Amino acid sequence: MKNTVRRFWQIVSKPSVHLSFGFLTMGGFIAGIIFWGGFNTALEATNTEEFCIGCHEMHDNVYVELQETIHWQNRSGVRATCPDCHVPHNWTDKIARKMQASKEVWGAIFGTIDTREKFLAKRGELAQHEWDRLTANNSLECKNCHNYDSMDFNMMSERARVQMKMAAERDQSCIDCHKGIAHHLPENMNSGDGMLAKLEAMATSGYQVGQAYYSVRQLPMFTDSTLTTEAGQLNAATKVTILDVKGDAIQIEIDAWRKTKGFGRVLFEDFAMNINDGYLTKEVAQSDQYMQQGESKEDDLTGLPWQKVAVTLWLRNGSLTDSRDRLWQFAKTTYDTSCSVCHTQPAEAHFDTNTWPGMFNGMLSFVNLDGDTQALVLKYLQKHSSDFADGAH
Amino acid sequence: MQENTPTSRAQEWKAFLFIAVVLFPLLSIILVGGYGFAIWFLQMLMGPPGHG
Repeated sequence: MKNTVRRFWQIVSKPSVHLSFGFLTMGGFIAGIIFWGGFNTALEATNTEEFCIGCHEMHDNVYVELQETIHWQNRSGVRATCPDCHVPHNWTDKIARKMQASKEVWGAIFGTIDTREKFLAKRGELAQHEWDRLTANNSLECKNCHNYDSMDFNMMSERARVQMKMAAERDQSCIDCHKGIAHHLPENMNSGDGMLAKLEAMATSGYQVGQAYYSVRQLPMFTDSTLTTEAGQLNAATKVTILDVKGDAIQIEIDAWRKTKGFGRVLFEDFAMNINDGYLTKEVAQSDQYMQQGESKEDDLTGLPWQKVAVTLWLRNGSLTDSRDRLWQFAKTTYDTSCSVCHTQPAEAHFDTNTWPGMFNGMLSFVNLDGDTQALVLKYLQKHSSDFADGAH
Repeated sequence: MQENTPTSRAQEWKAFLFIAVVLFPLLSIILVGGYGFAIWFLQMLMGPPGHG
């Protein structure tokens, strides 16, 4: 063996005696072409759905679940296959992902998820890997097909339109909101199904002009009573005073504070407290037409200037309640059930108002609350934080 | 197989085919695979790839 290797080295380390220079170059060139072709063929073959569902772990679990969703069948006949979403398209990341799949080969050999029960028990962890990846790359694989610039916002429902426009402005990551759209969510995740209906059911009817009400969920706001030009979004559980009711539209006033650095688009409930009351579009935030500006104060802690504003805008009739306590009850129940899945949830008054958003957002990836419920629960926590509770630390 | 034996035509052919068909393709795969593994390990340390 040692001799063979030495002999081989002797032959290849010297110029050839019998084979011509041209032949060797040509031979190496052709072998290279054939190799590269074969390499790409193999790469492509392992990048097909057929290959992915070759093992029963994929075929019997995630593949079956995909078939219930719009990414499998829809009116335009375009569909997403496994690698479209789960294998990076750029070459370096793709090769890294292929090597990473050695872990999946290991799993297949040793039966890490070879029964439905084992798969379900591990689903949370596996899903988290994909969510982390898509969060880091800003949902690149979604955006390979879906493009904010190509969206016709007019074809969306009113509610979707406001949310999507705002997401588009920030080039938001799709996975932030759209989890569990191609496969089932992990079992212990509180599904958002029916939450919206529960919130809507809390709305009261027959609003009195001059009375104060609270939004049951995030609501699109408009500049006029015909509800055509969007003005922003009102946050959940936000106090509004009704100025006028005109058929389908109600005119409201929001008493809020805003930071005057930047465009001043975000409304807050109280001075120096980051309790969100909603967002305004850039046009509305910069126009005097829709708001009265009040006193200005500087927050000693951050040195930021704050300004009191009274904003007057229009909403679609409905989705307001006269009892904020009902909203808080719902929020408390959701907080208690969702957050106790992994640990004992901290008392509401354990943190102060401005600490809660960071704490809350850090935990969001472990639960599945829809945007409305998230907003409501966060506001509940902030309004019951140590700043508002007596005798808390 | 002595040190100074002149190489025969057959030996050169064998060496050439071995290099072109077995050795270099194998090395290429190891190289690309190793590159992939390296990127993966880097991702484990520094988090998944971001967006540009």
